[in-house]
Amino acid sequence: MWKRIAYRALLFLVCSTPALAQDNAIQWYKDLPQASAFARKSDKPMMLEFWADWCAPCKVMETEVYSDPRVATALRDKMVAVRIHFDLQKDLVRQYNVEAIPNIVFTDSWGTELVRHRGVIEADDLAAVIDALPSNVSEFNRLDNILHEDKNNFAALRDMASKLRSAGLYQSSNDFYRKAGNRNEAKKDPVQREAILLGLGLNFLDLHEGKEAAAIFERCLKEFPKSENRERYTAELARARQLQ
Amino acid sequence: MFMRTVLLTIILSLMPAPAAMAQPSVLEKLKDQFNHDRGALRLVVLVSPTCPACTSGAEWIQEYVMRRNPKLNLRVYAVWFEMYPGDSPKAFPKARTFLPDPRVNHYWDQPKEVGRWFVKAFPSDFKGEIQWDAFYLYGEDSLWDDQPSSLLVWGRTILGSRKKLRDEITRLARGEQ
Repeated sequence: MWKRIAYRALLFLVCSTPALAQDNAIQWYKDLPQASAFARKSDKPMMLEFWADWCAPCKVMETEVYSDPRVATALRDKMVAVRIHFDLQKDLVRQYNVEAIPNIVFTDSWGTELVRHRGVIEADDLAAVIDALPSNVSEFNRLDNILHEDKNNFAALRDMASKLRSAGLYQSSNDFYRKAGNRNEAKKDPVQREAILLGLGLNFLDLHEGKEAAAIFERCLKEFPKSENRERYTAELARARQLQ
Repeated sequence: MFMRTVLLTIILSLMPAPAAMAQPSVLEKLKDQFNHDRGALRLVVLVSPTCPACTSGAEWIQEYVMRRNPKLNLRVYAVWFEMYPGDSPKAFPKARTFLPDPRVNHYWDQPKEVGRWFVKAFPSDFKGEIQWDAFYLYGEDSLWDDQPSSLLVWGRTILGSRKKLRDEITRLARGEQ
């Protein structure tokens, strides 16, 4: 009983007020819904850092990476930074499928994953990742808003996949292509299905995952024997096999 | 018939058992592989499979040493053993995924003999009996006789000493001697 009360008190202290904690130059939110609400006002992406006080590599991140002025400036200008405690915020740990820390997940303002990094990342690389991500995620937010109303909205799933691919966020793009591919709209409409498979295959190629890319283009050649894209599928299949 | 079976059983029980085939220890396997790979740079990594510092150190080596130097003639020997609460042979398969590069050989060292050996072979200010969360980088001409020659750089902890390792790898990748 006392253990439970103590745990809840600790959780309250960690997750609730104050919403912001000043750590060097970086303002870390500790409450994800508050951070998300703030991010949506300015269409900024979020950087979620999963950490724990017993985690030695997290201390390396704190003392050597977040203290770097390039990282601090990039984060302050472009992102909303959120710290999530690995032991005390288990619902979020499960939601983002975090198995090891430190773990950094970049998301749109709604918290939809764009890209992630597990383990220690050097300051110059983290600054480069932040710089490479869009500072305004309004288009992702617009689609995410639709998906919050209807998580199975086919057009929003497909368009989100396409936008993520255009931004070079291939892994997340494939998550949405898979969801779109499972909808009836894709199963019943070969044109939609073909476009989704092409997107998936190209993403796998960009991720250098030759085996998966080859399987997709083989499927395209089999499922769409009269497609005007057959030559392209054959060429992409050859590229995929070279990667294997 | 019955007597013949009894006699045969007695004779068989009196015969000396065939000598058990001695399995080479992890240290011997490591030494053999190390010498077999002479001509390549060689990096020995001593790690726990669940300690965050070790697994993050292994991931860092994968990213900053292996992935960023795909053409470097380097062999890595990742020796995993129990040093941290939660460590067990069951954690070994997942631990291997932290260093997936094909230039890496993975070993599970249940008796922790490699860590013990490195403490004795390379005295340092480390007070423990088993060296871990540590790396040792050897040159192309290194040969492991009593102990490996041509140690270029070593460090403990992996993350704490990573800049030293990265600088040395960068120098070697540039072809500087």
